Amino acid sequence: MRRRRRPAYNEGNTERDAHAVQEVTMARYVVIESRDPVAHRRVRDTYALALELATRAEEVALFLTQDAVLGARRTAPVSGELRGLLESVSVLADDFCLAERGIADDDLLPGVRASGIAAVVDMAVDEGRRVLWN
Amino acid sequence: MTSSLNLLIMDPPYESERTTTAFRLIDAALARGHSVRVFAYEGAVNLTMAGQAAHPNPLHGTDVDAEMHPTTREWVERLFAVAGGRLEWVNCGLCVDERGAGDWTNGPRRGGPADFTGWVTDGSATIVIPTA
Repeated sequence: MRRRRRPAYNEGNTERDAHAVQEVTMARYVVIESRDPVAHRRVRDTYALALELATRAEEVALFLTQDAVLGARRTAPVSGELRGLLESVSVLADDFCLAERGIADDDLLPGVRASGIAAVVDMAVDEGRRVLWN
Repeated sequence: MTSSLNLLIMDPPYESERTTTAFRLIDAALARGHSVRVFAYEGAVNLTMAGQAAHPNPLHGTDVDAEMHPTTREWVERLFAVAGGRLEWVNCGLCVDERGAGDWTNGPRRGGPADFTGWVTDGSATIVIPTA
């Protein structure tokens, strides 16, 4: 019996890819980041993911929690990278984690909103958004 | 639309802020009136170990009461108390056996990944919190 040739990793599967793209474009997302962007370079990948999803999906929110809120300060050395998301991604910063770190609302990059963690629950459960935590 | 939230957690107690965040998510979901199902995987099965005990802090010169050191077991017990039957907690059986973590507080039950896959395929919301 002749075995079916296994496709190379970079070969397209039109039907499968079309289905995947449709799933992405019809979905809404919450991307969660918890790491300090200064200490962890891969946080840039999370920003890039949120931005890329925003170009394809219906709606994308980025929820910053734990040390990730440090990157939401207007004085953060990486704030420019986060600023680049604000036109297409709703960026929320966990108010509990902001308070723990002594970050006031006035310290936040304009456009970033302080929010309770219940917002994640609302977006996931009530709005049916897909949640991606890196 | 669903009113249930699934959480998969992996971090062991006292190691990562992600544990606190997971507890806050569970608490927030319960406060919203939702049901919550937790699958504790890998080191997270240690969160519910019955033998956990608070300790004094000789460095601070504080006894157990003054130190107010919360244990993750107590947090889980309190979540069960406020849940009123809306919290289901499954400890991964193989992870429990590997760690000898089978003596846990009232509430959780033993299970396996099939429990989690069943939850995520019933249309309810799911959050997977990876290890830090």
